[in-house]
Amino acid sequence: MNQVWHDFKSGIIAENPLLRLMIGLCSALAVSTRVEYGIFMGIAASFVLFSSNIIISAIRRWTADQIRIPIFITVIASFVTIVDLVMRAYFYPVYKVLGVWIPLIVVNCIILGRAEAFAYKHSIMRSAADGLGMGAGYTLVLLVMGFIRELSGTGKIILFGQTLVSLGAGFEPPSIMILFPGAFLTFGFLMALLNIVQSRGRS
Amino acid sequence: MRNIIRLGITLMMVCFIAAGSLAATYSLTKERIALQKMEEQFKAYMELLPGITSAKDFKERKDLYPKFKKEYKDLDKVFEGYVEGERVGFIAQKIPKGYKGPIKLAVGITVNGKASGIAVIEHSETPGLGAKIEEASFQKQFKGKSLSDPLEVGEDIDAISGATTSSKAVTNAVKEALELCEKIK
Repeated sequence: MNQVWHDFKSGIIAENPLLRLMIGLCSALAVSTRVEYGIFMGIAASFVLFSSNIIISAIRRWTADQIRIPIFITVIASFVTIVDLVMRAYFYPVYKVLGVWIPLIVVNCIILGRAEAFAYKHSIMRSAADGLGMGAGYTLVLLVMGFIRELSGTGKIILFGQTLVSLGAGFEPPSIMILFPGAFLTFGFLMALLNIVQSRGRS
Repeated sequence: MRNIIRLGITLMMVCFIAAGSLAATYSLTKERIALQKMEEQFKAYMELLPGITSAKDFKERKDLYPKFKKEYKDLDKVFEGYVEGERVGFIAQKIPKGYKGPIKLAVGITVNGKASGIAVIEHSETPGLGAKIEEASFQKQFKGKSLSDPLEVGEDIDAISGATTSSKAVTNAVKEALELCEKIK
């Protein structure tokens, strides 16, 4: 049980897919313009990670080395298509904004990476925990980045139609934070911050 | 050789299960997805004909299609809009060819033959150039136009700079939509 908890936890900080392993950055930088998009993208990617980890771990005894990659991709692509269809049916307005990034979860390095590096070698329980942990770590970074970029770039945070925080009319939001440079700036500062915190912790 | 067959069968099994689960999801979500698309379309229509509040107030004139689809090749759909039983206008949806691909365009026309507005439902024009047909600054030029206006790019319609083809396609479609409604009203 301790092991499972450890697997879950390591995905959030110690092995955070975005800030530590630095994989799957492309979609993260693109959709982190708003907190709300981060929530949906995070849930979608976490669901795919969790489900594909479980299935790949469950069939690992029958998966020969030579054909593991096509099998991984088939499993992952199936779950992504399921997410794609469900989001299109039930969350259409968000789906339209996230658009191409949902089908592109297929090629997100985090998912294939965890299938190859973890789920293929570990038990179903541990793979499920790893998937959840990695998904949580990914979602967390999306939320933090979305919060910083939405608040500084538009002056307020709107979640499900409700204005949560507003900086007031006196604040002239620099739109650069919503555009691509803002994504790189925010991400760079977050990584620096995590490095500082970790090196302090060690010494 | 034996090995290849074994690997092939494993792969086939995986694909078989994957295809089955996808087919199941598809058939479960199919209707909802179609409904969502319809709703979005009618939402755009409602903005074109003010006063209409429900998709039920639009009546599709399918009877016109055999005749007019021959005359206007890019005609997609024609609706009549009603408010409390009284006809207030038409929606003519056309799919003219743009620069990169078809542009799905709905034109709202009042009963007295004036364009009440246009809405771009779908398009694949170049972002930053032709894609500006989505913008209000371009679309509002058509408001209030009727067949007595020239409706020509360069005369009463300003083209989007760098996207003359897209602008012309939209302008021409609006003109044809007005002509069509003149014939059926």
